Amino acid sequence: MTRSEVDPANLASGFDFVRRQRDPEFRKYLHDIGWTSAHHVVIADDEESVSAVVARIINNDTPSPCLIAIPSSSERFGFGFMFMEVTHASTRRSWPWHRNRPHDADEIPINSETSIGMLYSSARRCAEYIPNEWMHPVVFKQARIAA
Amino acid sequence: MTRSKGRPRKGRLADMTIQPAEDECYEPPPDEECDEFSSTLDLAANVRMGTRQMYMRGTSELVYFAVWQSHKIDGRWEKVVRVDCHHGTVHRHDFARSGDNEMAVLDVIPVKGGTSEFLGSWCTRIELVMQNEWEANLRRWHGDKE
Repeated sequence: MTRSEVDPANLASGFDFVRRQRDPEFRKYLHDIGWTSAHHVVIADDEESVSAVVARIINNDTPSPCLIAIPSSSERFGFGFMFMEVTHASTRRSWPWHRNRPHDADEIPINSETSIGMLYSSARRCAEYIPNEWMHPVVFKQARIAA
Repeated sequence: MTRSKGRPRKGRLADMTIQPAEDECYEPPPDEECDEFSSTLDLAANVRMGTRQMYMRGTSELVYFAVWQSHKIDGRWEKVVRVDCHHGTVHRHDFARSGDNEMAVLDVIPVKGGTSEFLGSWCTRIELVMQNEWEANLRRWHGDKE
């Protein structure tokens, strides 16, 4: 058995998110990007690796899709948002056509050093990511509406 | 604890059977008259919090709130603390590993006038208290001595 520990910065960010919920503009923004109460919100630090965030989501049995909230003072409501979804397609990595196909220009590779902030900053829908622990690809999609 | 009549008093440990006098007890409006805003936040591995807020439909008039803290232990999510405002009071549930649920009334919700401001003020206070007491709540749940 291990004790549950939370980084104080993540805890503060979580409560910041909760406090902002009282702002009708923030609630409207969340609604406009497609968030509903069914989507869990995963608080992730900008520098946290994608693999660590995904591992946390797996550990917590977080339902898919979920909304990743990245604290960022440059964003309108103090957070950058990305949806993360586990697709139900088979792992395409093994498909011959997938291995050989030319990669789209807007795909970015995700490796062990890729941080969630880097992924968010790419400002594109990203290619699949296949964690070892999962049988299905994961898709990240930035959620942002211009002010 | 013996059961006493009338409205629960602020600060006392609550007997779950105590109900404010029926004509004085605040109840939120029916769900169909409200906009609900609930969220579940994963803060770290095995650490989760949640909120539920209800507003009068189309307004920012807060009519109900709840905030809770839970953690995952031995593969199960366990409640640690929950503050909500059912039964006419703002009250806090402190859960324990043993399964105990100790409830304390924090305040009685006014029925007439200023209810939304009252709930908003308490919601703000509770969020601060929950943040400050996060680790202490976990230690208490585990049965650690303070």
